[in-house]
Order: sequence, then structure tokens, then C-alpha cells
Amino acid sequence: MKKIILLISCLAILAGCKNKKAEEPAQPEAQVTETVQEVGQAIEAVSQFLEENKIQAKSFGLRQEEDGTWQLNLKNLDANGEAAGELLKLTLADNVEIVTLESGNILSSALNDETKSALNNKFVGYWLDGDKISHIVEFAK
Amino acid sequence: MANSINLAKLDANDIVAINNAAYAGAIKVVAGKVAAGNVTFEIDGKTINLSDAGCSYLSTSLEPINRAKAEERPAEVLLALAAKSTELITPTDCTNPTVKSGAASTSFAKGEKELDLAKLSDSDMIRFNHIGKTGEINVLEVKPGEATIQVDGNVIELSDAGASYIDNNYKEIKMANAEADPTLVLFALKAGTTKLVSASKVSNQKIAKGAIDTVFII
Repeated sequence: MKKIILLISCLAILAGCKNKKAEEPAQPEAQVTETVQEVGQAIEAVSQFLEENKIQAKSFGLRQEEDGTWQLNLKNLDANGEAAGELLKLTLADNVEIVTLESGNILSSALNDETKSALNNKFVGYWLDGDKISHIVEFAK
Repeated sequence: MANSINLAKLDANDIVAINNAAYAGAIKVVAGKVAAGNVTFEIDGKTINLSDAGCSYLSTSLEPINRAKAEERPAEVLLALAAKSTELITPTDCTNPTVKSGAASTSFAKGEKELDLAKLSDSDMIRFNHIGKTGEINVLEVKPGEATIQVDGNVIELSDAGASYIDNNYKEIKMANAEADPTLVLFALKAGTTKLVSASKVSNQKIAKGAIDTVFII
């Protein structure tokens, strides 16, 4: 999670640099290039971290518990890319963001009876923060 | 799925799923009330009589109608009694050309009121009908006394320890709520088993007696 925050910070710095460059053309070119390179390296590190920690699974759908938390039913994928093993029932962390490639972005705050089927029978990558899901990305298989 | 069903060949325990674009339900015979050209049967808790001499068509709102009304609104004909027979047929097979050409097809399939999820294979697709509604069930995980299923895309957990009934809004409900209005109950997990049962077949007689049949079709 810290690295995700770092990525967001890096992107903010990058955006700031671009704005600053536009406003203050006097800034040395070499300094801007160095900053951009540092940001690029940070993004690469974060991307690598995200890739290494992504768990691929087949999602069967969300269900809301009596206490209001959302639980995702899924099976992790084996080496052949097939859903295998026990059905897992993992709780979504607060404010988890679900990015669906085909139907747009859905935030956890928008989860309800109408939107809960967004993750039915989809292939997803997910990240854990402790024992809760912190982020989900759908991918086409 | 068939285009017709012969009521004379059904016994009292049989249940038949009927599906049309406008209606989905379950039919069963009423003992001793099936004769050529005059049949009485039950569809989703409602008793229907069709005869050659009177109304031989059934509308999608479950009202027996005569030929004139069927010709007036053929798209609303759910089924017909074939003349001089005990056979219910899709209106698209009627001899009446106006009804035949204007109607939507209806299919019939013998189903079950009880289904053992543990005996299904991964490729089996389960459908259910209940008072005008049809849906699909996918099994995610099943153990005696516990089942996680998808019902029309809704993830449902039924268990002996928690809620073992599902209502027609696809909500898990407990026994007290099922008893309060059994007609809303779609089906239940049979205690200690891996079987889904129609609400009309659960062991709780208060629920079973007030419930309308749900039919499962594989």
C-alpha cells in the first residue's frame, strides 16, 4: 500500500513539474530531466511491486454481509490459468476501488444490489492488505 | 424441452416447467380430473379447467379464454388444450391459424421439486421456475448443511446455522420470515444435506402448506 501511495505522490510531483515548467521556463533543463528520470524509476519500482503482489483469480461475485461489509467469492488461478481449489470468501477493505475494463470504474461506495454483479464470473487480479482485498482489476482472459 | 405435455401421462407427484417469453411457471395434475377434451390442472397454485366445449386456451395472466379472445390477443396465449385430447400444447402448434401465427412459443419440461447439488457435474445448468419467474442457479460450493450458490447472478449462502431459505427477491431469509409469507419462498437448503428443495416440499409444514411449487430443471 505504501508503494501505491508513493506512486500517486510521484505522479503528483510529475504533474507539478510539468506545470512549473510551463510557468517558469527559466528552470534548468538538466534539473527537470533528472526529476523526470527519478519519477520514472519510482513508477517502474511500484509497477514491479504491484505485479509481484497481484493474485490472479476467477471472481464469482460479491455478497453483502449482515454487518454491511462486502465479501468477494473467488477461486485463485492455477499455473494453467484455471480456477482451482477451495472457494475463497475475502472481505473488501474500506474504500477498495474496483476497476472493470469493460464496464467502466466502480467504487466501493457505489456497491449495491444493482452493481454487485459487476464481478460475477470475471477474471481478476487483486491485492491484499492484511487479510482484506485492497484493490481489484478485471482482466480479459 | 417439448412443445406439448400429455396430462394423462403425469402422476400426482410430477411437476412440469412451462416457459414462454411472457410467463414461466409450474404445472401439476389434479388427480382424477383429466379426460379427453376436458382437463383440470394446477399452475402456480391456481386451478385451471380447459375444455373443448368451453375455454380451451390459457392466457399468460392465467385466465382460461375462448377462441374469440385467443384470436383477439394471440400474443397473450400461454397454451392450448388440443381438441379431443389431454394434451397441452404450445399456441404456435394450434390448428387455429390466427392464434398460431400471432403467438409466442411455449415449452414444457418435466422437472423436480428437489435437487441434490452434490450430484451435479460442472457442466450442468440448473434453471428454476416460480410463479411467473424463471432463473438460473450456479453452484459455487456445497457441503452438507451449507451451500454457496449464484441465483441469477446473486451470491447466496444457505446454511443450517444461518438462513436456509431464499425469497423471490433473491434474499436469504430465516425460518421466521419464511413462515410469515411462504408464497415468497423460492426454495430452501434441506437440513443436513446438499439438497435444494421447493418451498412446498420443506419439512416445516407451516411453510410447505402455504408455499407455491418451485420446479428445478437441469
